[in-house]
Amino acid sequence: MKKLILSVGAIGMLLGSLSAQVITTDTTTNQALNSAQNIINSDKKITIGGYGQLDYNQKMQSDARSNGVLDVHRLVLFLGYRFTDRIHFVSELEFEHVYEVGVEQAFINYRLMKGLNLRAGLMLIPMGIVNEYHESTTYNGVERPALDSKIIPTTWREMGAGFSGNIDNLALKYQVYAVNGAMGYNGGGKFRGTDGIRKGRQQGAESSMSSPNLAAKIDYYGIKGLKLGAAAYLGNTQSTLYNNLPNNDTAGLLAQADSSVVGITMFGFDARYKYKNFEARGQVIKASLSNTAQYNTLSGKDLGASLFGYYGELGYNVLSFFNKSAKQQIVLFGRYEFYDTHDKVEGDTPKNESYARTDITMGITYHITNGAALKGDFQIRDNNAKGNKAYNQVNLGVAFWF
Amino acid sequence: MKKIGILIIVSWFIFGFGLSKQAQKKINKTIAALWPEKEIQKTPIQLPQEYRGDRLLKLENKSTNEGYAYLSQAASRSDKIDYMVIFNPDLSVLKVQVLVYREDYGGEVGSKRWLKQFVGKSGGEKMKFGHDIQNISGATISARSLTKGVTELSKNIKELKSKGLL
Repeated sequence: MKKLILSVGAIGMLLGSLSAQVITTDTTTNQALNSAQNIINSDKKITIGGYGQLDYNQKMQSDARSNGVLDVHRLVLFLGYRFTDRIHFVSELEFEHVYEVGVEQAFINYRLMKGLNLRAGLMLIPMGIVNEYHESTTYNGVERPALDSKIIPTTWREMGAGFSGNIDNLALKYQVYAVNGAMGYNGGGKFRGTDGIRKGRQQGAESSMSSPNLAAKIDYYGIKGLKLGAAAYLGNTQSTLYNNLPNNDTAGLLAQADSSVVGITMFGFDARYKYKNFEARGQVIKASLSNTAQYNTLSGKDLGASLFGYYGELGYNVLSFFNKSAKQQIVLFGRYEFYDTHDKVEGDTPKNESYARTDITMGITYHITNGAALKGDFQIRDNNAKGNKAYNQVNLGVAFWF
Repeated sequence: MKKIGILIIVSWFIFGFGLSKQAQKKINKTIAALWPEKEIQKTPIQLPQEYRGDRLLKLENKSTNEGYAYLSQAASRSDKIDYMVIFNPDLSVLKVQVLVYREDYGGEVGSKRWLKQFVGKSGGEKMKFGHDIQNISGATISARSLTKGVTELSKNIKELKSKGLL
């Protein structure tokens, strides 16, 4: 066991150093240049970048053995093109767990004027911290916070169009998009009690839309070192029962279609603070789902009527105690997380206490250079089910972004 | 006077790194706002080979030196930022201004409050990113890049003065 951990650690370090940051400074023009830009296109219209998350998860059970899981969790290629000063194309292509291919982003951004951009395509839903800023070197812990995975549900992206911009005088960034919603009923129910609407994400793959949803966020950065965000997501989930439903509904199919959707009202607040060697972040998400009683009766699922979660995290670069001028950082951090996808239930759906979960994560993020990090953390994962024993998990990981 | 004005405008177009109309407007607006009562002449200063790509202008009112406008570019995540640093005659930073921010990520660096952090500093000192200059979450690449740029310009102009090139 010890030998395995040591050799994995060694491999991880080797991988980390090989895939280290490649941003160089061109001394003649005093600019930070991405080396991929140098290679690909001297005109610098094409941008190539990427990020990745490589994990080793080792669950620890007191009464049984556990196999470890080593996973190329994410490998993402960022491909951008600058048509003109005002018109950009942005895309992210990804491999998850080696075999699953997906597109995380693919949109055109048109800067109409200062502070007003038109955006259309496959976009990230602005909710929480990690959904938008999901490059693995930007958060602590090998895995993304479970709250973001189960409630938000990251990486949450859908197709749509809308506006975004920075208002410098107010130190505000805004985003407002109309997007297609999550697919709740497609021949059968898709949502689950354990992870809300996560299984209904359409992600731009022939997304079916029965009604548009609204996603909006405001970020405030007027206080030095602090970034505050407030986001809302509103709309009904999607259902294929509306498709081909005749306008003259003599068969009364509309009622069944209506019972196959739930209304989502989701609010999220997040804060990030960084001052010299100290960093902190926090997030609260609350999602109210309406019509879940009807939905669960129709689909046989156990979707909750309210999803609620929050986390608070503190971190400190302890390397600064030994070397004040070091470029590297060793961030010691701790995070407390609570997330409950059965915060409330409607109708006959029984409340499942195992869905009220608490994760405590403590670990280290070793930024070996700007853009590459080695991570290690220890988690205590618990839930409110009677007689449930918390289990522990050790995670090691390699994170890189260039 | 008119001829000199035209000559300055012409040399502006010849020597620039392709400043867009938007950038030029902003430069003029910024300078006019800093010296509202005065008419400022902008005279290009020839930069040595190693600083090519940037532009330096001497700002004078009649024959009084009011300062310098140093124009350069920094890298954002997948594009370039056009920015300007206005220096006082003593080479301390008077103002930093983002002229053109092209892409959709990191635009927060245009915030006046964030840019104020550079004011009063000189010689590239007390501009360490993450310590003297606070980061903006979500705009780290641009913030770091712009901080590096302003630090370099601040050091460069000090060096130019010591070489008697200003």
